[in-house]
Amino acid sequence: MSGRLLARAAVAVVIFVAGVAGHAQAQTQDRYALIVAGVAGGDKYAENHKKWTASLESILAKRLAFAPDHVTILSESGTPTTIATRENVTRVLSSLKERVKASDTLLIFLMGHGNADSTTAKFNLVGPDMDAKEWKAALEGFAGRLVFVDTTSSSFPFVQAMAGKNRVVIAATDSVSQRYDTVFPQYFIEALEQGTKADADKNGRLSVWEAFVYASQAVKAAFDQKGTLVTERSVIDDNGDGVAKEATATTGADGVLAKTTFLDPEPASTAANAAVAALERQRVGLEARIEELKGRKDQMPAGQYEEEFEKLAVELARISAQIRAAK
Amino acid sequence: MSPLKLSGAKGIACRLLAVALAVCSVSDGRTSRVAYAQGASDPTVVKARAAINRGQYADAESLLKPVIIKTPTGEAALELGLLYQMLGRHDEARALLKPISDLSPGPRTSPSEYARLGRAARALGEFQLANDAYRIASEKDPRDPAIQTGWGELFLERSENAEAMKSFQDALEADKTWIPALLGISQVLMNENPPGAMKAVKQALSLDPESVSGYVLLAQLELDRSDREAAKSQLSKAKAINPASLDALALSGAIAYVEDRPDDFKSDVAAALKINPRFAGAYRVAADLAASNYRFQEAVALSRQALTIDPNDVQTLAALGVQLLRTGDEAEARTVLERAWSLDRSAVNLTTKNLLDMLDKLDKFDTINQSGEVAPVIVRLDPKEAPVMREFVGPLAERAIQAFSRKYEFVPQGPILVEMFPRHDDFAVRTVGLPGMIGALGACFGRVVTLDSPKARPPGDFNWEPTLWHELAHVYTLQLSKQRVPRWLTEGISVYEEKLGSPGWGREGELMFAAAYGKGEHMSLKELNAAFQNPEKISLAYYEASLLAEHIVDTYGMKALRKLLTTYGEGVEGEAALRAGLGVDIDRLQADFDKLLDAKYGSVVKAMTPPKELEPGKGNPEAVAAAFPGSFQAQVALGEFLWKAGRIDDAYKALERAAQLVPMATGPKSPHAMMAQIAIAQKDRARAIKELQALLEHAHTDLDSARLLAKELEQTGGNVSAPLMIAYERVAALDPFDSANHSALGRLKMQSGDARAAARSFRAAIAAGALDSAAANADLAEAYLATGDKVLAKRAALAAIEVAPGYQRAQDLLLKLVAP
Repeated sequence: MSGRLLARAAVAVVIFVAGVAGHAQAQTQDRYALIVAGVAGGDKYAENHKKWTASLESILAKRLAFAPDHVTILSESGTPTTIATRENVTRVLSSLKERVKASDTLLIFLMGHGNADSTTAKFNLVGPDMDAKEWKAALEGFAGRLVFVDTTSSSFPFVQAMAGKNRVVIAATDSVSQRYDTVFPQYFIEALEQGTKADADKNGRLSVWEAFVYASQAVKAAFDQKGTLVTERSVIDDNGDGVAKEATATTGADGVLAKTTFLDPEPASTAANAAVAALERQRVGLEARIEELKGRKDQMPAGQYEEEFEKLAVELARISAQIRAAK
Repeated sequence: MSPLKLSGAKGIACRLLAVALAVCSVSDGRTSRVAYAQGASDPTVVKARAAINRGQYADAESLLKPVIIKTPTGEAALELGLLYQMLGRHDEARALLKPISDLSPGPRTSPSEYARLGRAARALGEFQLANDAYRIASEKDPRDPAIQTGWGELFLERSENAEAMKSFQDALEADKTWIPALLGISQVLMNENPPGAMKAVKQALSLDPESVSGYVLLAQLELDRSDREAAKSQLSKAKAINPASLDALALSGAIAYVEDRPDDFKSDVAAALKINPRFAGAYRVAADLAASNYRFQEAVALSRQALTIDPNDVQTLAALGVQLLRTGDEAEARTVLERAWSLDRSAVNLTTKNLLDMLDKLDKFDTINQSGEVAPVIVRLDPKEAPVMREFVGPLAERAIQAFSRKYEFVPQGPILVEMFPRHDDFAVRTVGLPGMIGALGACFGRVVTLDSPKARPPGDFNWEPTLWHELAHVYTLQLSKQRVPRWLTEGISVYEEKLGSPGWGREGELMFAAAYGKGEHMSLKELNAAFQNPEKISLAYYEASLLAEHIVDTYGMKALRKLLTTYGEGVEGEAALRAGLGVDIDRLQADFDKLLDAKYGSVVKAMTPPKELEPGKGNPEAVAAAFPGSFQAQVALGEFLWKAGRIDDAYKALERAAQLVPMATGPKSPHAMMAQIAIAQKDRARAIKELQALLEHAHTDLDSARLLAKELEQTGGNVSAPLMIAYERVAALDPFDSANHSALGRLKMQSGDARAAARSFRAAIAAGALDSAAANADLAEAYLATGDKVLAKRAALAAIEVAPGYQRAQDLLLKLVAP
């Protein structure tokens, strides 16, 4: 009885994973990015923003292979068309709405300063700011997958405003009262830069979820090392309900979309022949069974879990080795 | 009080005595003034008080009794109630005090009547009622020093020293000659500021040379300064005025006990018990003094004796609980403390409450039992820290115990209990029963060691490793001397052993000492022990004592040092012990020590004495430095000036000169730190590394510089494994929760072929929350595999795959491990 039920559950998971993978594959045909470095508010911050912008631009171009004309940077020291003003942001977003297809992904990365009160939150631009509602309105009707990363202080209200279907929204803070300058952007960029280090599941690709977790943990470690209270706790929402969670939270439904959203290009198909394709299918199946088993870990006797896990892990290792040998 | 790392806090013994004095303080001060202080207007009460102050208790009783018939809730009733309480006639005391505390105040109740109600309530242990009464009394008459003093004594009893101080100060503002307030201030200050306490009590005695409590308090302060003769002299004065003073008899007996004069001790105890057959203090005060002389086992025995006299004496039960914690018997300590708490749940029993709360936390600690090659060690760690700290605390303790056992040719009595607290206040409560002790990092009681964990303070604030090393050295000096080693020697040896334990350890006080030595602020050998009770001198005392210990070993040898310790263990004290242990008298030792200090620090002192011409921001630094080539400050100022001017080579030269003059200088403005900053700015990595290494030789808690050094070494690209490992190890010691550092150290250990050490680092990295958990587990699997432990290796490889199922490195390892 229970065996049948378990088998059924496993099949369901396999279908789910395959479905998500298929979706991920279909949606990453084109990738776009908009980086907005708002008002720095001081030389020290300006220097950081300049450094981070340059790093991010380089990572997008080189490591993540974004097409040069797919990356737009607006900054405090830009030219009339690239300065970080409300007009330029609105113009660029309008243009992106036209260019980005449903299967494409757009990364919007905000750095600088934000402020919030009981009614709204703003991202500080050169000239008039844009509040969360205005950002929401500017992206109304956007067709592709959106990865919206607001790394500023008091960025929390943007989660609720920007949340929606097919959207991953990340904020550097989980409260409007977190008004200090943030270090989250530094570590999020570091995660993108050091893809392997942040690639927690070691599948060779860095998901947005992994970058978020890496940056969140690095922020905490940085505060711990200084021996100061953590004044920023980053959060994520990707199921569209506007209720965000932290990287270490054990409850909350968010994470599924972010785990299958990648900023790097889709790897070329590995299934060069039928035999390898069959092995690949086995690998995917084993990975799904491992995930299913991990999901039941708390309900199983430790010994039984370990035994079953080892069996699956050894099998997966053997199949993976065969795939590598066949390539 | 236990030997401590850093702090000069003195602990519970003094505090308990202080409370005892406060309870019995009805006879303080000049008779007329005290009578007034207590709101007495009745001449009979004044006369009775005079009799009490002289120990003529029966006369006082005879005087007061007739008055009570007329006014059963008046001043006389309070006075007699308090007298009965002091004499152990508790039922009679209660019969008098209860009606006073039960009085229903009305609109015409006077401030002094409220104060009387408060005093009676305090005597009956009803703190809240007493506090309310004093508050209203104070509101009605804020300028009455008697009311303020009474309120202050109430706070003092609750260990609320800040509030007590405020009340006593208010009293003195109303009348600066208010003797009980001066005595109260002395009691408030006696733990944290003994010189201030001494000043206050002397002022009180100058106003009232008949104050028995004043002399007893002064005797206690002299004891804290390790001057027993002076203490005995003060007690003689107290006894001359009041031969039946219970406090004086108890303290006199306590001194006789610690001086191994059992007949005198028995005699004082018998005299006290004749006055009050239920006076547990006759033994309790001796227990406190034994404990403050590190003789904790004896303190336990004395407290038990006290409980045979009064099994319900809460003060004794509380003190016994503390003493049992110090001997490591936590289970029985809990039983005793719970009994104390069940008898008195008032805030007076604050220490007991604190200790029970702390024990509740301790119950949740992880316990690691190590059999140990020399002696078993039990390490107790907070569960959140245990996964990381267990990798380091036990092994370091084991290394220290092996080293000290060889060196001191002594096997300590175990098990040795090491408890590490992530909250400093928990450490303080475990150590002395009260939060605070800000300067203290660790404590040792002979077999029990307590210390702050690295998380108890900001990273880089201190290094737990030398702290543990220091405290474990106390285990040897205390046990070898049968707990009779004087403070200067046990602390001196512990700091000396720190310095030998690892490069950089124990040297943080050197520059401060050199500066003080230059100003002649160091202590003579005769003053050294007392300096440990002086907050302004204690840091100097630690370092000077370490130099003296070093001098003893260098001059007379390790065997002589050991003999000195065992000589103290035989009951020989002071200069006699020096003669018997080292074969030298104190004058000769002082002369030789002076020569050593001059040779060691003479040139540094000269270099650190700023020339009068050198005024910051004024004059030409080049000209001043040229005129004073031997001045440290002049060279540092020149180096900084030239650096800012862009004359890098010249700046280096000036700073190098400064570093030669005072090699132990540390801090961001020190020569090596500035040269490192210049080198980094100049992108001269080799120079930056050299300067940071030189800086860290003396700045072993400088976490930022250690991290910077590691970063610079990582970027050299050359073969820097050895120095890099040292840098990583320094960071690991200062911030054991830096996961990335453990991983980097583990990889270096693997490269060096030390797979066992690598495994330890990788375990710590995982426990500290590795950002790349899969890679850290794969690292660990490889390390286990290298040690030949395939079972653990497989477990770690599986853990890596659990995090990252597609992780090729872990998969390959797993296949290797399951291959037939």
